Amino acid sequence: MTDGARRLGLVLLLLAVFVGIAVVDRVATRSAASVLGAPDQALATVRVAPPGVESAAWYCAGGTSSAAGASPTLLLANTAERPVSATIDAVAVGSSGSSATVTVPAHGSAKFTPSSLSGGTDLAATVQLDGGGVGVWEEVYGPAGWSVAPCASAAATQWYFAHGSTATGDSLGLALYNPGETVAVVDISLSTSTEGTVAPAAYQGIDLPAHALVVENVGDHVQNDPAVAMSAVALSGSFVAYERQTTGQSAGGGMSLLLGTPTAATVAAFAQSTDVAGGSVTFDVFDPGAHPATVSAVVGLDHGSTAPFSLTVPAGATAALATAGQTRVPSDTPFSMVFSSSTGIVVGRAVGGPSGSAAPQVGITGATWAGARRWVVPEVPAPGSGAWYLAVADLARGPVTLRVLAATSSGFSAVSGVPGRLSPGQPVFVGPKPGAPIGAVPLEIEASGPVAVQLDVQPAGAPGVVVIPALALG
Amino acid sequence: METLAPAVVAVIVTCDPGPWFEETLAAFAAQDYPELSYLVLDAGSVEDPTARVAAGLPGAYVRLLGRNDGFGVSANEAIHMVEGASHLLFCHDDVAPDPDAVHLLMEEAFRSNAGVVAPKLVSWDDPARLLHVGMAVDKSGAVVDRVEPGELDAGQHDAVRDVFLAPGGCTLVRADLFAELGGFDPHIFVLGEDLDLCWRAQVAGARVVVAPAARVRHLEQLASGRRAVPAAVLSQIGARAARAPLSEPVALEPVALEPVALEPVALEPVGAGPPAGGPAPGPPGEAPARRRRSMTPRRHGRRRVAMVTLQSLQRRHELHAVMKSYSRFHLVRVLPQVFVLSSAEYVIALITRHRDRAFAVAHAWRWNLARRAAIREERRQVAAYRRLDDAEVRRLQLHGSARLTAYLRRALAEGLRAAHLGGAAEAARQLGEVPVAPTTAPPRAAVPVRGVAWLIAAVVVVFGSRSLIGNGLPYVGQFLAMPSVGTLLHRFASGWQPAGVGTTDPTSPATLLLGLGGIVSFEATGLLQKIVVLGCIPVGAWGMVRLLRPLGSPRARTAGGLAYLALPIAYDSVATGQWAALVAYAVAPWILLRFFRASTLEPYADDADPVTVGRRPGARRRHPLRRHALALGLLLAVVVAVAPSCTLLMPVLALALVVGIGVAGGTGRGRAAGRVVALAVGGALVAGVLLAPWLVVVALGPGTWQVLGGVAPAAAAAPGWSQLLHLALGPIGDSVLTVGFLVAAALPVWIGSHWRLAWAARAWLVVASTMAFAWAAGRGWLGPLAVPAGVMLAGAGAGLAMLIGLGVVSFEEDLRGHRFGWRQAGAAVAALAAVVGALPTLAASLDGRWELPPTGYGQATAWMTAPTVARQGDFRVLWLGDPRAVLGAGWQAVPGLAYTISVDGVPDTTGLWPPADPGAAGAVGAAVRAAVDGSTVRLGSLLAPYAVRYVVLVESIAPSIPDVQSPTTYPPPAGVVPGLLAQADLRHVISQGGYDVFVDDAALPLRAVVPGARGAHGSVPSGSLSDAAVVPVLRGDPDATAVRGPVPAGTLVAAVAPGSTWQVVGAAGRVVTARRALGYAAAFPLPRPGVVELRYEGSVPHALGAAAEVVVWLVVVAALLGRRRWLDWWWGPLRRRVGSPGAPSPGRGDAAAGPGAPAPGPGHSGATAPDAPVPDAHRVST
Repeated sequence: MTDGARRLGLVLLLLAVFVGIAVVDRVATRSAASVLGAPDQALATVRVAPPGVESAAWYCAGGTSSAAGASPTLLLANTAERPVSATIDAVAVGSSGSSATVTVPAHGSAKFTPSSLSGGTDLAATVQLDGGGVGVWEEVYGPAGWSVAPCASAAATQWYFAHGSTATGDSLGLALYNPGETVAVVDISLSTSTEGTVAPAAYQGIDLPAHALVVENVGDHVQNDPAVAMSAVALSGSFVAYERQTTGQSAGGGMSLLLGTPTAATVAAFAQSTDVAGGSVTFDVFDPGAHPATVSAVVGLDHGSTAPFSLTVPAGATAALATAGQTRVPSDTPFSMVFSSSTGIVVGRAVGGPSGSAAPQVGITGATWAGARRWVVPEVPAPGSGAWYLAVADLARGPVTLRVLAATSSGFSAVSGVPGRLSPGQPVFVGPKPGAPIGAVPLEIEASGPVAVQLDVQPAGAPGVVVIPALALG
Repeated sequence: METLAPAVVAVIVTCDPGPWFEETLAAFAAQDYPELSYLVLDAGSVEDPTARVAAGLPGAYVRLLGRNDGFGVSANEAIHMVEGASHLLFCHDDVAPDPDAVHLLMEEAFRSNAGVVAPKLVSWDDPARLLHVGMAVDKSGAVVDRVEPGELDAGQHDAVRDVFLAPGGCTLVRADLFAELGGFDPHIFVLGEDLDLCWRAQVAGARVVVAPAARVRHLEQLASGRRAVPAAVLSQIGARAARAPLSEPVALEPVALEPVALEPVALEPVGAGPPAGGPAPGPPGEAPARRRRSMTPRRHGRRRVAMVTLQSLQRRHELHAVMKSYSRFHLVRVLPQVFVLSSAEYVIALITRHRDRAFAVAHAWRWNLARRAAIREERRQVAAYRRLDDAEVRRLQLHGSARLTAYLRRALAEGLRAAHLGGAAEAARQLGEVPVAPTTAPPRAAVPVRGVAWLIAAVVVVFGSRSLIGNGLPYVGQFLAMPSVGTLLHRFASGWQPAGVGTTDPTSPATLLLGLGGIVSFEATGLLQKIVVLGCIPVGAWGMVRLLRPLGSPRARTAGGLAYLALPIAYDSVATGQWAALVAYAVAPWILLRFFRASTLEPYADDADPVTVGRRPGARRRHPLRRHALALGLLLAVVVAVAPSCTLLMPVLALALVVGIGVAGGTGRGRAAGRVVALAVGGALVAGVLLAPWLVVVALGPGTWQVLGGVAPAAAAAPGWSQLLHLALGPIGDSVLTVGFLVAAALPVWIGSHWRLAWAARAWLVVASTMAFAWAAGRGWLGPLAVPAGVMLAGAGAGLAMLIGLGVVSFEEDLRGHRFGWRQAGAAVAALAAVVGALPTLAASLDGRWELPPTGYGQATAWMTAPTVARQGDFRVLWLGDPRAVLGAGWQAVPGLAYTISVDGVPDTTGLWPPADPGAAGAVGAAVRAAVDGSTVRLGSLLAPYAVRYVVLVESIAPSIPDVQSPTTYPPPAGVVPGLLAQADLRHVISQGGYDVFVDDAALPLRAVVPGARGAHGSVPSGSLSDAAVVPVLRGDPDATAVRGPVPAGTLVAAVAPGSTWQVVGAAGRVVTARRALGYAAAFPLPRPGVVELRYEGSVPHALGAAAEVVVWLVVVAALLGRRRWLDWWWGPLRRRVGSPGAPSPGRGDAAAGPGAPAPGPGHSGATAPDAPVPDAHRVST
């Protein structure tokens, strides 16, 4: 072989190697990037640890027994096949707490009233579990209203709230709880409809000692604003933040307890909303980032999706989408709503029931910011209440299969009458049926793709006023 | 006439004096000192000088000694022959004192109460020029003149002063002192007897002064090369060390050394005839001025041989004086320092191919070590009359190293070449001659250009490293604190390592190697660390030069070596604290060199003559593959021991070369590939033997590849193909300019032909294979075969540098005869590309530390050593992070997350060699895993039994300090930070600056007493650890295998594994055996308070294993060195001496049998003149 031929062969070989590897590397990098993303991390703040874990914890900070007369209750639902022991430490504002132990039976539920441990009006609790598989919610129930919010399975360094109101008669509070051993320092900024973003001096550098609860009354700094979005960011440490919203003082109002969103996500979903006649459904889209968000909102109906709504949300501002009067949203028909955004957003929903409907008539709910394949919801907690809808919305790009399992003494068994297949964007509503276990026992929802799940409960002025958000199962 | 002047005897030693002798005699005859008598001792002159003495110095006594045993031995005759004299004036036969010289010397002797007085020595021909006015000496015995060569005498040195050395030629010595000292050292034939005498005189309490008023002219026949040292003297060691004659004309039978029975000779008056018994054997007449010959080693057959030069004599006698004159305490301090300096000089001399100097250094040590017994006896004699402590004696010695100072001074003033030539340059200048060039000196015209290039490169490297050299290395990545020598050696031998939470697995032999290095560096472990880190850069460049030497082009060597030096790989490794990559950079060329030689492919077919190989295709020789395997195995063993993650470098290079051989084609490729494979297997086997039993335990452990390959970073964080292509593994290579090296490396493919094109193909395959391996391993596609990308990139860098060298050869060989065209244009582009590629490295040199952050985690976590922290007892620190950022090497907690454990702060260097089986520390990893995947929120309680008080999560190689340093960041895998933040029982105390610190307040102290009832049972449940009543005990030295101190009553819990290997010894000697606690640790019930000792029981098998390992290393090293001709100087004679003391030296036999060697005849019996040596100008006074 001549030198020329060897040279040519060598060049071709080297080119093949170097270019070939470059191509493979690019493909591999792209596929690796596609599996990365923030939602998993955000989801970790409301995820039920798998049953096999050594320990798990939940942090609940929205409990209050203040003027509204509410009484906080912790709801524990165990999906594991063994009883799990829970140590509950309750603290009140300005006081150290005490602890108690509760055992959650296998496939069962338990309730605990933290006010039995601490006499304060504002309470926070840490639930430490000797195992996984247990989800914890916090319920506030009283004359002023009824609300259920998930507890947080992890503290975070930032929390966002898309909707709050300090309008006349409304009371907006922000509960900040530091469950860790490290002192946290928190800044709060408010996005108002009148003054834009404000950062009250009193809300800068809020000191949160270890295991301390601080409750701030937002109305002290923003008065008479019906649309207030809030951001709480830790300069150091981590914490848990809850919004407590009381609307009106009469029987027509309501009380909402809302766990913040730990990260601005590009997807936010509500599995079920219903625009009842005389009522209102308003979605507030908050862009906490530095760039305007272009948002698309898709209405999912059982027979398909409508043309999406388009919104542009300025940076640091909030945009509202009211469904009343929208021809794309049929009245009295359950629908799902999925928001997609070019940048991270936080979405909240305010639902008002028709005048004269059952109390509570007003409720605020946060969106599901990440889909999961397995969810758990507890039994409906309040006395005399029942399930309205178990709503499941398909967030996948393709169809998914669905199973709803109800807890029994021997384990979870499938609930009959549930559609086994969901199309993209299509919601499924498992309505109340006589004898059906919906709302009576903890439910586990399994899907082959990411879905969003919520349980609507009654009595309430309208579907969506009182919602029990499902917790993702790890 | 009766005088009151003390009697002085001038002792003049002659040996075939030349025509100047009459002038010498006349000068003595003209002395005005009244009580001066003369004793002429003739050391075996061929012509009896008696008549000349009688004519010039009537009344002088002449004694014909009949043989030449050297100046000292001859002069010592005066002890027996002279009585009643106050002083003796020892003179050469080529001096001419001024008429008042003796008078003035005696006056000064009494005025100063000096034991030794030296005159001012001036040039024979030009008395206005100074030769010596006393001399100075440093602690290593190196002599430094007080005057400059050729310095004019303007009275500037005319003050009387104490000096350390009165140079020979003309020296006045108090007679009683001379007798007490036993005269001159009889082992010193010539050169150095004056130093020895003066040193001992001062040890005996005598002053040595110089009296410049007394002036003596000195011809310096020997120093100037006009008088030769007898061949027998030069060959008495050199001929045995070498295996061939020194030079053809020299008969090697040292007749003069044969015992000669001398008749008792009475003092002969002038005019007496020769002594009875006939003429004594002596040298034949030799011309005063001889043709000067090279002193450099010369070839004889296949061997290069060296001869003993004046330089060698001087060096060995200096060392001799050092070894016999210091007290034991000072000798132990000084001798290792002298050894280090000698080793450095030896290496530099070898590198610069001044083999005569290298030989002189080696010869000095070998000659003296061979006379250990004699030196011991001489030391005893010195001790008998020692009156001054060494501290007093050393007052007059120079501080520091005179030789090093002179080298640097010459380097700065006259350039490196003059510095390398050393004294030879000065001597030659004095003689008006050209210094002898190195044997293999390249063409003169090429030297300055390449020399300047290398000098510039060296300056850039030193300039770029200046801050690291001056300030030390921060604790970053794998740059960790070097423990003390004792700690290193103890960890090798003790059988218990503090790695993890403790293990009895054997540790890497690197602890032994570094421990020995620490001894050589006088326990300056900081210096040792700089050497082993920064030294990798020149070693790698040197290896590249050696790799390219067979190509036959000095320009190619220079270009390739400089290109390798300019690659950003080494500096990025420094910038990111990756010692393993630096080690790989250093050894990659050496490994390739072994493979290339083993392949026997042209031009590596003949590596015996590195200059001419490649030019003589037919000159193939059989290659000793076993020798290559031994050398490669030893190299691998060292490399794997100190940097286990380099393990895969050799196999990958071998595989790449085999593929390259196949791709390049040509005849004999099968055989070549087979030899490469055989060498790889052989080298691996040798390395395996050397590294056993450590390697065996590693291989059997669950984390073998985590130790040998390192913990792999997360696939998403691994460097991509683009990064690898432009060598961007750190801040320096992260530039598009470095692609220039790839462009330059394309040249040999572009223009090369024949073997140059073939080697270009092989080198490119090396580049592509190593890069591809690094890329695939980073992606996790090679299973457990993880390897740091920097390690593999070192192999690629060696390939690139070789390609650049090949490009130069191709330019020289393949473009010859071509008219200017695209090929020449391509060469210009390649050259420009290489220069452009080097720009990032040049720019990075500006900060003086190759962008390595000045502040490491040692400073950032210094608060851990605060007394307030220490009061809580010793503790462990759990380090988490990307494997490239975490301190030391450890185990994988989750993919992409490594964990290491240290005690009381940052880990030390031994943290680089974790056991493959983390043992009990595996539970720590499991706990971290649980925290990261959300399986626990109580990491603190899980870590508490392991005494882990702090968890440090590193996210960059060093703390990030705004406006000060922005280190390279390696974020931990997603989920780690949230996982740790989610822990309910960890206190997050630091969360900025590129790292996070979590505190576990419930952590058990490393050694604690749990009081109360539990103590009686000896079992400690983990739940009790958070008790406030836990008392830390036995604090300090947490790594020790024995610690003693008071403890209260209770249960002593030692959080060390395995607990069963520990015991407690009470005050009364009562031994308390350990009970298992916490699942891994040791608990000892102590019913009463008292002083106890907690100690590791030790392991006999481990001790035996360690000893066996040392023996194996010694055997392999000895076997390897025994085959290296350049070390035969050291090893050969000793081996022969041990083997057959009475056997004739192979050197003699070789000489007798050698072709062309003249048969020694009667007229040449030990008296043939050798080649005239080049003197060492520093110290020639005879």
